[in-house]
Amino acid sequence: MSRKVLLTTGATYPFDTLIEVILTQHVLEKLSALAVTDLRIQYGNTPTSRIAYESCVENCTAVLQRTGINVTGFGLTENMASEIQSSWLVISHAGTGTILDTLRSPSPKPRLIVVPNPVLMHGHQAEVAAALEDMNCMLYAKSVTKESIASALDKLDRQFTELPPKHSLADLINYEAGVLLNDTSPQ
Amino acid sequence: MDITIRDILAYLTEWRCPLLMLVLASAAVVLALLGIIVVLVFGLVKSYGVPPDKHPHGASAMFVLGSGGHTTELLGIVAQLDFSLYPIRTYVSFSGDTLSTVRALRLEKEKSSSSSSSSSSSAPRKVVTLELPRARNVGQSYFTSIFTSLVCGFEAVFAVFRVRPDIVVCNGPGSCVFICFAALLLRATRIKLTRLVYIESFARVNSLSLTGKILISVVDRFIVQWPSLAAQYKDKGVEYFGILA
Repeated sequence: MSRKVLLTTGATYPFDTLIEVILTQHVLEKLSALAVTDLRIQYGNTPTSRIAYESCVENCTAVLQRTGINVTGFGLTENMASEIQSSWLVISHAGTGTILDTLRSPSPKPRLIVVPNPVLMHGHQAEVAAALEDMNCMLYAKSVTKESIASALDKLDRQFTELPPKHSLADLINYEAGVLLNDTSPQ
Repeated sequence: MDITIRDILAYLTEWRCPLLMLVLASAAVVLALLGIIVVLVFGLVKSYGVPPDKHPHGASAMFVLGSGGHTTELLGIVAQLDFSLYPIRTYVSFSGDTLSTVRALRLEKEKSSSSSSSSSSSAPRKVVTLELPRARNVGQSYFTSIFTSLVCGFEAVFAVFRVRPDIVVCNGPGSCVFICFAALLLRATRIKLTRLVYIESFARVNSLSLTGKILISVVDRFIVQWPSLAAQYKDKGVEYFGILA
């Protein structure tokens, strides 16, 4: 049976260090111990990221052959949701799009480890990650190191909490647009 | 030849004096401009106290797609709407972000195929996607961003005055401020009392975005998604219902 891990780096900023850290012997052996067979890497839009990804894969060919993990990569995709749904684990930059797509994807839901990009560390990406880890919805690896990612990988067997269902704003927007026929005032 | 002060006064008070005409003309222009500004500001201020206009035959909605996670969140909210109530839907995105338009059109397709059997398919509908220039690109210097912002602002006014939406729904980042201000101008002229709904991103847990801070006092509804933000800005009329994404 195949078990896929999806690694995302986002669309806007390159996050080559995350790819470098995942493609190390230490992390790859951890993944292999978790019975992972496929690693899909979204390396981003810039040509330099593609080169960085390719050289990382080249550097760990021996480990990949030994562990039997099949690595494939792509720059960007319009169908991230289906990439996520077919994964067993998503390791993601802290982009809210990917976080939400993962936490809201239909069962069986992939597990989620989030690694915020230190370049964007003016706060809020890490805040979401911390808040969602507090809610036990996902794991948060605070630094881009193989140790912090390995320790997150060790915690994957826990029972995660579902994100609370989303509240609909339809009534509020309908009221503001004046299309609610019955006169309900806000609150 | 001696020119006395009296000569000058006599010249200036003669009504054909070009200088006097110029002074009078510019005074008139300044007064007219001031008058227009007063009327606009008054119109805008007055528009806040009133409930939204009723549109029993459907409304025109403008959704501002910010790119990336912002687009994901906003389209998630748009997906919950009954499209038969919004026969005119405009999706605004910004240059360099082609994915947002693609995703908006994909949502449109999904919605129309899921409701094809109902009566809504026979209702007139108009879906428009607009792409505006970005106010500031990532990494652009602040000086040159003054000019790109001006271009974005003009295009936003042009777009908003052409579409004249009943409601604008947006969630940042930066460039949506221009759409909101253009909508305020539309509202100030009372051509259309466009309502503004701003949703602070799910990514904002403990502090508002700069866009949020700018828009908090001008939009009709300001919604946040985390309790700590709701507590901090309670007296600003911020609303919190839980996670919307």
